[in-house]
Amino acid sequence: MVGGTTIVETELLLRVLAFIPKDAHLSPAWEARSRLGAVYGGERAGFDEDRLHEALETLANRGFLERIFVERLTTCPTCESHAINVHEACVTCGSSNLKRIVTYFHFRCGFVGPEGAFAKDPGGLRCPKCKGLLVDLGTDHDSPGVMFECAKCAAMFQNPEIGVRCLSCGAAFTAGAVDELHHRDVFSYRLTSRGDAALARGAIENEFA
Amino acid sequence: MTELVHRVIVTLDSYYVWSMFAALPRLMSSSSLLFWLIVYIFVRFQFPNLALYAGYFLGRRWFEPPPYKRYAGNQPLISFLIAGRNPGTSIVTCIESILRSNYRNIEIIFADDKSTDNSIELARQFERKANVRVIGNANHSGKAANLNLAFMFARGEFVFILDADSEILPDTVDNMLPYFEDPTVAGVSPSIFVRNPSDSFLTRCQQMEYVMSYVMAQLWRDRLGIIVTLSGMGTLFRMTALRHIGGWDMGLGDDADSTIRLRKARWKLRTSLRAHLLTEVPVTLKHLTSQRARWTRNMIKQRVRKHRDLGSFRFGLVNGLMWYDQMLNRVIHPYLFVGLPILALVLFRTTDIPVLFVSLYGYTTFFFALDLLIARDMTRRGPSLGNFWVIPFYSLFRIPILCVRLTQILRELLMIDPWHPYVPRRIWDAIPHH
Repeated sequence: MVGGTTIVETELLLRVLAFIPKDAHLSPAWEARSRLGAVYGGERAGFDEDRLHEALETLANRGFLERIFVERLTTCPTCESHAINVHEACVTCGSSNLKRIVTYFHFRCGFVGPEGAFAKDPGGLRCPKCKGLLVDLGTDHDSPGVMFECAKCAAMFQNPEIGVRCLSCGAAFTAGAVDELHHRDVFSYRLTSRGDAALARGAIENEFA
Repeated sequence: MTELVHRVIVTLDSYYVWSMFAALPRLMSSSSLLFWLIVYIFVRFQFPNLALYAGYFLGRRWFEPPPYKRYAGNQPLISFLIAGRNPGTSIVTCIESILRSNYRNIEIIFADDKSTDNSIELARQFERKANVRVIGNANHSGKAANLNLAFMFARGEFVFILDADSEILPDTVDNMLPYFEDPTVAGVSPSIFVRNPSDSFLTRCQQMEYVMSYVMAQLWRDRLGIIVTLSGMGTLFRMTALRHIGGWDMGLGDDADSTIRLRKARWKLRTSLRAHLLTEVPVTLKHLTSQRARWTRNMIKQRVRKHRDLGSFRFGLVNGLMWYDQMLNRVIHPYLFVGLPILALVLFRTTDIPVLFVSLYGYTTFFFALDLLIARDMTRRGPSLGNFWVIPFYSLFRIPILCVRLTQILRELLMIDPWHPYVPRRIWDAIPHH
């Protein structure tokens, strides 16, 4: 045992230090099928990716590597998978079966409704309230904005909720539960002077010495 | 002129205390026109109140909400619609008052009329906590358009429209919903009280004005079936009735207009003495006169122009009579009250003008104080006795309002500057003006 690290582990850490490119970063490559969502190319050097990541983190914690932030991944609070689907959801029932609808406001009679409520006419749109013709956007009508309609419960709203489903374990989260999602930061790594020295010496010194 | 001044002094001296009673026999003998003016004022303005008080003391249960039947233990969804532009922190008070309601099956929809302040952010903080939806209109479009926008989102069996500067009490809805047990009732207005009476002399006066005009007058109109306006400050509507009339029309005076259109469609309208709503009223004279100028012009637009067909009795006898009463009360009276004493002075060369003014002042002040005392008892929320000191000065408050009415009725009838920035110009130009 050297400083709480076995000889085997020390050898692994030295190999990982040697794996870091000189004067450059060890950057991740995105890989959806991997457990972490990113890989560091350890397979070509004979590393198991999970063990490589553990070793990188150990080295960073002990000051041999410096972390450089790359991306924050959102993960499932149940299974920690990064394979999650983020979607717009109904404010009432949470369904993701939403339709975007354009609304119109007819100046003449004040009617406000979805585009579908106005009958199509060769000259424009026909108002269902006053039967007047909507011809020129901005002159006789305008649009209060794009709204959403839920195909499941028929609720209409302007700002949908954010809904999330984990594609690994199937857990679903909407509304306030979205705040409970976990996050995991992905880094690239580069050697610190301490890491350079350890590599030159060929030994990981006892941090408690 | 010297004689007139002398007469005023003598009159004040003689009739200061008992002017009202002492002036009557003199008026009867000196000028029948003036006497009958007082009789007319009594019959039109005091008699309905006296009848109301008599009814209240004889049968108080008539003024309580009817018992629940269909809605007993069954809370239908009520959609609260709020349309506002730059309401500021008032929107928070308004939404919180709804969320404190004893009635739980609600949704709140706030249509923001492209506010330039942080109102929309203040409202959005409620979106995640409760059944509140905030709709930001992409364009400034006026109140009626935003009510219609919010209406498009409403899913309730009933729709409660509420001004952003108003608030309800926990039992307000409970005291309104029972009236809808009658399936022909389209809307119920609450009793409207002033939220900020202590802000200024004007707000103290408005507190008294609201009790008499929006509570007591609305009550006797309710008993006669001639409610003219379900207030835009707050009213509970039946969704099917609002759909029936196609929501709110554009132009000014959206509340009076929607009320008259419901009347024309033969829906019943009610008011609830026990349902209370508090609203913020103008504090300064500038804001008050600007508000009343808008109200006066709306009144002429709606009653004299757009809905003048009520006068043809096409929509029934009661609607017809109500229209003529409105013409008399809202259009002709302001001129009559100013014009008649002047006319009497010119035509009859009467020397009793000071007597008339002093006696009218004594009469109105005495009965106004009496009215307010009874209204306090009936509503259980009238002005506090500590505010009664404004009663002798109440006439001062009426003078600027009367001046605004006299000028604005004329301006609107003559179509002088008919546009009001309350409705954006691009929309105003597209609206048919009757």
